[in-house]
Amino acid sequence: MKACPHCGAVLPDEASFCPSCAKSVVIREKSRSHSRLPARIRYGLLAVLAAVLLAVLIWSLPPKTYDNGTAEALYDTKGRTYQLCIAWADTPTVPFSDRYTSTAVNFDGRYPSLLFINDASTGEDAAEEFLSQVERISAEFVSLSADGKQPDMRLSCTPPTRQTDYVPHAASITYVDYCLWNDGDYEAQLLLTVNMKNGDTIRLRQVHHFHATPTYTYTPKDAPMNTTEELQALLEELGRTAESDAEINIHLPPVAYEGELVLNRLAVNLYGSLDQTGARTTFTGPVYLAYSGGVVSFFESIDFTGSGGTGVSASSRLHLTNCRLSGWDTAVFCSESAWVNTDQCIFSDNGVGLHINNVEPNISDSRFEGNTFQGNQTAVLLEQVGVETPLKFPSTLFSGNGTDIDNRCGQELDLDRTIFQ
Amino acid sequence: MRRRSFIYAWLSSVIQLEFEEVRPLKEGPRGGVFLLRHKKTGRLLVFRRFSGSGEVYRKLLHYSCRNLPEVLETAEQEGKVLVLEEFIQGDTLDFLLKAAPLSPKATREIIIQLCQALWVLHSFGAVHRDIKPENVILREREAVLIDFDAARLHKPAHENDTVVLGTTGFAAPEQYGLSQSDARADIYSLGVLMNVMLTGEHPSRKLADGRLGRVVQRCTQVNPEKRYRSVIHLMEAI
Repeated sequence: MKACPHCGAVLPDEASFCPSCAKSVVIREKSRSHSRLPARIRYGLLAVLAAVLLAVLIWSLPPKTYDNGTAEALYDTKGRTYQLCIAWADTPTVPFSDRYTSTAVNFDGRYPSLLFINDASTGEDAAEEFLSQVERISAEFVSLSADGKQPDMRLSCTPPTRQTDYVPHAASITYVDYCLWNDGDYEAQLLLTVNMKNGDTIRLRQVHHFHATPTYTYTPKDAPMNTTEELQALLEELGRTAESDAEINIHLPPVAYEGELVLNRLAVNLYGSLDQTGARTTFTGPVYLAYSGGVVSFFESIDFTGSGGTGVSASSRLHLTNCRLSGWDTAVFCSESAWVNTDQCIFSDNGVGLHINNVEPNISDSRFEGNTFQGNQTAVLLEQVGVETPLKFPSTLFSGNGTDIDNRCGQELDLDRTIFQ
Repeated sequence: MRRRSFIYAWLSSVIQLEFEEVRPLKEGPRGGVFLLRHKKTGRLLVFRRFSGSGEVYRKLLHYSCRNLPEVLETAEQEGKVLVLEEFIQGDTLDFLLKAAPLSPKATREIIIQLCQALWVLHSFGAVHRDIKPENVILREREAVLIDFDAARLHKPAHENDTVVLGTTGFAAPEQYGLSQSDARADIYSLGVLMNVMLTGEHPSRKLADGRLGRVVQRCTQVNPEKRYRSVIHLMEAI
């Protein structure tokens, strides 16, 4: 048994709180660091002796420069070996030599580069003690290259400062400001120089790599896309030439595309448009999505008008917004690890509106919001869904369908805000 | 095991003797959450009873963070968990967002505080796995992250999460079985939350503008490797 430190009540040894005063009786940790003071006391005399001997030795030597071309340096002073290290905040003892940044063109970015000073033998934070021996710390970029060409970017850094309220154990923080003006890869070396009061110099180097993430936007003025063949050719060309992380937006003319379209190389966003009579971009043949990777393709404001067969077959991720799908045996078929979300779409006069048959889907959102399913034989067919999470159909209208939801796999559904007429 | 049984019985009896129920806060198939009043002092506390693992609550017994509720006691027996914790007085973020989206400045402040809460959880290998507006309470200017019923410790040996927990729309793809959810699953949910705070919409429907929108994009990458590596990196970015 033990006594409550607040009110003195008798408590079981295992208790963490006191039922008498309703207060916690455990000691709580605010910081992850632990003091090793008892060990120091035990070995105190020996350490002091070693420090004195080392100080005498160092004093008798000329100033030195420590620079091994990396983000880490070991420095011995006053009987203790310190690790100086440019690192991430959560891994302060792991040197972080190469920093990679992907950024859009003309984006003004800033991030901090952190210097940590640790006890080399224990890994514990030793910044406070070490900084008392430091004259100054400075930072600069010493080289900047872009495949030998003049760099097309702005890059600068602030003087290192100590901000313990931001990252408590960081010895200094240098903010790096950057802006890429054009596509390309650039790199630069940040040089951190620590000048010690005893005349020694310690240099740390971190290479900063910048990559401009490209965005490609195509309109009918940029490339021919009035027929399925022309659009397919554009997609093939982009598949061969565009970077895998590129964002591709294609604004389609208000034409009717006949025949099948295949997206099997990379994710593409397709945006439909209206002509003066109100006719929208329309696909009358099937559209297949079968590219690898988890990037979502977005189709917006497009009509899919068929006469049998499958309108959209997705084995990749797809999000349909404000699309109209009618006249298909199956309007949207989602299989394998794909996931399809629809919102504000109209499914009418199809055999099946939305057919989901997934084993291990790469689900991104379980909501199918604001859709209308009207006059379909089966509006939604859930053959296999592959996740336990309930599917939701908020503000979605089911009207005049033979079967509204054929839930043959027994998927849990949330139909609280669904409208059945 | 004997100690666990003892503390479970002890806590059950203490709850009955020393507290009175004010009102139920939440009830569901996995358990219930109740607001209790300590008879002697009048202090309000939250009492949770659910089936699952109480390992994260057990760890939190020993931590103190102003962005997390203070866990006073926890007990576990045969898969049933009891938890007694601090009651956080305030409005949920969900309630505030019903009025209007938040400004970028307010969003930034709240996300940074949630990062600080998650930094504690992640530091001992736990993942919250259910970050959403209903689980954030604003106590004056402080955001407090609550409800660790879905939280679990990250075990590198597991290939994927066997039980789907979390709230759809906010949960990361790996929580649906792609791989085991680690701290980066919380970063995904924080990204969705940030976008909802700024726009009222899921990022797949409407992405926030500008710099914070880019942060949301990075947080919600399907591949966890492409997200921020930790909440510290996310704090740096915003």
